[in-house]
Amino acid sequence: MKPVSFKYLKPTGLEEATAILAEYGAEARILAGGQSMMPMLNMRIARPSVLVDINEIVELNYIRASDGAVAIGAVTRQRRLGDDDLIAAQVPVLATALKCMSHPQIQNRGTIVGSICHGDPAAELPAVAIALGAEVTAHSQAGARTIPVADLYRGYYRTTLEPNELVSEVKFPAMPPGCGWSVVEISRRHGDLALAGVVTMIVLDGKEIGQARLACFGLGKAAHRLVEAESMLTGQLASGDLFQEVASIVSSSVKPMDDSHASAEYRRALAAELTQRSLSEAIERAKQGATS
Amino acid sequence: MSIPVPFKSKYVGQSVKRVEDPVLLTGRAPHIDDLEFPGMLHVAFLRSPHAHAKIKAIDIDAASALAGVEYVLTGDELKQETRPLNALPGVAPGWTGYAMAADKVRYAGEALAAVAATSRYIAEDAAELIQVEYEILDAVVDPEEASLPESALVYEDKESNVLFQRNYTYGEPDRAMKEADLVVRENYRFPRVSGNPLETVGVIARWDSIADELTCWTNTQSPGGSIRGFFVNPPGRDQITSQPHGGSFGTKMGALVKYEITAALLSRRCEGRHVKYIEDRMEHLLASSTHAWDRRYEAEFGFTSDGQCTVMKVRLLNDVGSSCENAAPSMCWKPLVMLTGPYKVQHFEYDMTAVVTNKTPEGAYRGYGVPPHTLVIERLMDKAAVALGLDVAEIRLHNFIQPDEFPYKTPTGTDYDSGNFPAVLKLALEKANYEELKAEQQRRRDEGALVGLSVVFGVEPGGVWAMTGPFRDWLGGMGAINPESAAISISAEGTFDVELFYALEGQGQPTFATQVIADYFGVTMESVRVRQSDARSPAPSMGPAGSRQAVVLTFALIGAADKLAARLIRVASNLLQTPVDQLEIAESSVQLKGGQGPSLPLGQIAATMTFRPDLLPDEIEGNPQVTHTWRASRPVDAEGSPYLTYANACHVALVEVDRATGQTSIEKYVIADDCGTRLNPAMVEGQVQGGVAQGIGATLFEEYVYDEYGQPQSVTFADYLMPTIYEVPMTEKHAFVTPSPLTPLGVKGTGEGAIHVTPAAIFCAINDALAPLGVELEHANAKPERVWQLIQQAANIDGNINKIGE
Amino acid sequence: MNAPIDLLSDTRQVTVTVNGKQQSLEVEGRTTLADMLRQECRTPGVRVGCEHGVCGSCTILFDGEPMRACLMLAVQADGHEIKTIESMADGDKLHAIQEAFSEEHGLQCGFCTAGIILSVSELLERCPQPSDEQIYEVLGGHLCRCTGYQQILQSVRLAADMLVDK
Repeated sequence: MKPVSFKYLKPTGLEEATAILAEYGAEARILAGGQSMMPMLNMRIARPSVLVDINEIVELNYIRASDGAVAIGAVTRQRRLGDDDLIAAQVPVLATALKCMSHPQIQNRGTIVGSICHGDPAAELPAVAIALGAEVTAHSQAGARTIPVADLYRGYYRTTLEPNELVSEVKFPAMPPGCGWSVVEISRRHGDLALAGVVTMIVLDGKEIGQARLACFGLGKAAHRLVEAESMLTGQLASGDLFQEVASIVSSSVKPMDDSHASAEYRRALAAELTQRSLSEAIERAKQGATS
Repeated sequence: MSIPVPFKSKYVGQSVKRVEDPVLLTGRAPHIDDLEFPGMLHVAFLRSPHAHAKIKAIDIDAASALAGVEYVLTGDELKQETRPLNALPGVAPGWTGYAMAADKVRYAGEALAAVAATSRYIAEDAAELIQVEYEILDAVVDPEEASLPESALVYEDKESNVLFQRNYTYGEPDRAMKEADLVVRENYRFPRVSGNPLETVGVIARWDSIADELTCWTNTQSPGGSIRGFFVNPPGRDQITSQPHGGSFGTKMGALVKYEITAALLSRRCEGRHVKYIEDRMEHLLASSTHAWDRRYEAEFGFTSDGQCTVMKVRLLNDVGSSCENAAPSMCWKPLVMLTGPYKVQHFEYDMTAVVTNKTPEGAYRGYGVPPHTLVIERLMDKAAVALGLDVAEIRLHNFIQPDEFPYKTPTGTDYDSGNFPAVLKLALEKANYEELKAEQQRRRDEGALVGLSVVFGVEPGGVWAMTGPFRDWLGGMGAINPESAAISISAEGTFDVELFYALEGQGQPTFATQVIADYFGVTMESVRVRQSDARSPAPSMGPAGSRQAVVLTFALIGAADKLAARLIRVASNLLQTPVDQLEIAESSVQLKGGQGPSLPLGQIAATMTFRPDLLPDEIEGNPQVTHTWRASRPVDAEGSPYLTYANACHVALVEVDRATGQTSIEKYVIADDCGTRLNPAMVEGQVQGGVAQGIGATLFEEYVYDEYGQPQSVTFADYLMPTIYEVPMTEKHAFVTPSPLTPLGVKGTGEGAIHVTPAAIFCAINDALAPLGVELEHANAKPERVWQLIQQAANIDGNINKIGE
Repeated sequence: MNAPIDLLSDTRQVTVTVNGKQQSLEVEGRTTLADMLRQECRTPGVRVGCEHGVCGSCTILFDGEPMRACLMLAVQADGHEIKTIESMADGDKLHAIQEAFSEEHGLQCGFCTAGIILSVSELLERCPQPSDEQIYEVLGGHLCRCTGYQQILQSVRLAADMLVDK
């Protein structure tokens, strides 16, 4: 279990990084925290000719407020989601997600942006980012563009990023006041990737559900929004019957995959259960009216 | 607790700190991968991607040409130089390949070429450059289909895939079954699992042609063996030494042989350079011959109407994988030494069939086949209890061998040494507040929760001193006796050096050896130093296996101490002009019995032996060092007598199954166990808890999965799921002590008891949880989806899931 | 813009502080940090158990934070500070955490122990009186195949007490 030989490059600035990517294109792979990339390198599943290590681009290590959103740089470690005041105040769902994710030893190195760009269908952060309506900023020598995370995935571990692009940051819109949230999942062991998971954010409008955002993970080729569920919920009174109805729609609309841990059929059943759990939990939080 | 020891016990029986800890805690234990030699080469294997295929052609040119590559050894070349692996020739001749595949591959991951290069990185680069042309054959995957006539053959020169079949019948099981008032039956599956120590297996070989000697440094559990016999042109002599290892659990025995042979041959091809191979984790999961207990059972028990079990019939189908290249298929035999568990049953039929398939070969795992057998017995006891309206604890109490019946001879001829099964069970019930748990379970069941409660019991054969069935066949009726040795010497300062003849493995042998010897001579533990040596030492040893260390090592240690004491007393008798029979050893001295009069410090006696031989009696060997090899004194007189002690334990588990997801959570876990004298109670508790964790793993998480083409699906730690701290319950443990009458300190083996019983405890509890739904789990690996499917099945039968239990 | 350094098929100089001692080493770009520490830096206490980041045996402190040495490249250690198990004891005197593990029998074969102790040392520094939940969070990132974790948990609790008492 040793990596293949590759050219190792360590840019120290964003511009330098995009120049390298412009030169090597699809031959290059980006190494951020490496907590998914390094196992693939060690197993020789990933066999890059050029490895572009962005960890020393210190300008990309930040969490900062930005126009009603929280911007997080590409080399910011996942662990910061659990101890950052801005996150706790504006996007507390990220701290909740962290609790479901892997282990501190992994989170100390793994990056938030890396997880989103890796796009593991069973990972939490892509789904949370989608539910929040987050965007990533991708840089190339041609300039920068923003991509909603909801539009980032186009298949199993495939993104719409170009080989010459580097994502410099992800921007999470601050959760609206009174927003209730939930991240729930079923995994075989604590800290494993999920068999299935659901993210919910709800804002109440009086007694009715004013706004609902749902996304799921482990239930398809990539994390995705549950638009139908959202529209069923919006403008309705929260009730067990409604949640059950939504759950059954979610269960029948997702297209999970089979593997040695769980069949698609079982994952659909988990989708229904998790949708109900997630809605109940989010509603509870919304009723408490606390986003902080 | 009173300890039947021949000395005043100051340390024995106490949870003293382990003497081996400092070296382990500071990262200084020299593991096999830590050894470096000048010019050492590193091995990587090319492994088959197919489960079953003919090797049509293999091209190593590109690999050999890569800079840094010293040699590429193919299976074909290896075949010319070596003999097939075969650990059970008397039972199943010819059911193995060689250390690497030559003409065909029989499992995905089987090695067919090995590269020796200046680094592991380069070796892996080169292995990728080897070109192989395969002709893919139908894979034999399902063990039941494997025995059908139309099945493809794993070995074309054999008539079928049936490796062996044996039937052991005791009493009159057919008649007893006919006469039974109640017959319960069920089919079970046990998952393919393995020990998976955190350190994989490794070897460094050096074939020194000038000295005509082969040395293999390894991390084997059992140093002292030889692989000379595998070579067509063997070295003049060979030795296999062992480094401290990072866990074994049975996996570091036979699994190493193929790697030792390959590395040795590479060393010979590379002018005697050191050649290192360290299995990586994926290789370990994929291809280490350590997978165990891929078993299917059909079991049928008969009972009288008042709950007395009269007959057990157990039929085992064991999938051994592609070969019996190590002794592990003998795990089918081990249940013969505890066939009826803790119960008095006179009629028994045990029928075993082992088949080969295109999967990774079977290897030994802690428990050696007893855990699945215990699970079958315990689950059928539960079924009978339910059918008869008895409490699950009650039916066990009703069938137990009673305390006054020891030594108890089981139908197979095994002698259980001692025990008090009812007391152990009652202790567990009392500590678990069993009646309250039952009430709680009922209350929650009434609210619709799937709550299960189990009370299971197991016996643990300990202190293996001869190998079971197949080895007797092999040795022509002679038992293969496995002695154990210890050496002790005393210095002029009165300090003791103890030598054990295998490597540090983690169970705490140096510590209890220190405790025993310190107490024996009345010295402090600091005055005793234990060294675990490698195979260079001449004394016979088997090392850790079969819950034997506390048993056989205390024999060896006390035997050696007795010899040394006799010698010291004889010298003192001369010096003190006092008859030997009036002297004794106490407080680090030889003194007059009763403590009156003159005494001589032991160090002074040792100094006399070293520096004043003129003062020694003529007949005394003037050497303050002795070696004692313990050997069993009892004959191997039955199918299953080669274990000396029978520890036993009761586990009580409370679980809840999530109706929506099928997930099981363990809410309470209470253990009462009796392993005789506890030399070091904290170490016993560590053995128990570790066994629980592995039992939890097998029952809820771990499983080697193969697809229909024989492709392994569990080749990373993301797929073979070993429990973390979140998955393992913190158990409550309670001791009951019935000393063994057969061992010098009353100890019983205790390394395997918890893994014997835990799978049964979890499995029975889950089935109890599911009982209100009218469904039963047959697969002992209760992964959530399996349980969920049963719940669905119940819902479909019932038409409405909400009705159930509500 | 400075031209990036080309590393194809050659080695690179790495300056790294391991257990307080600065060293300069030549490593190949693809060499894992775990391999460099074990083979070049003479800190074999970095145990390699799975090489894919699950088991935790190779956990080190990288700039003070526990991380998997198998999931980093050696070249990434350039300019950083690493602590391994070899740094914990003071000569023959065990660190309080090591003492606690010995006292509570928190190890058997000891292969996973180095990584666990390093993770625990960071936990107790950050949080001297951790709750069980916090201890689980940290131990959850380590596999132990011998102990079943109970005596490890007890060891960590004792270590916290011992360090607070100091």
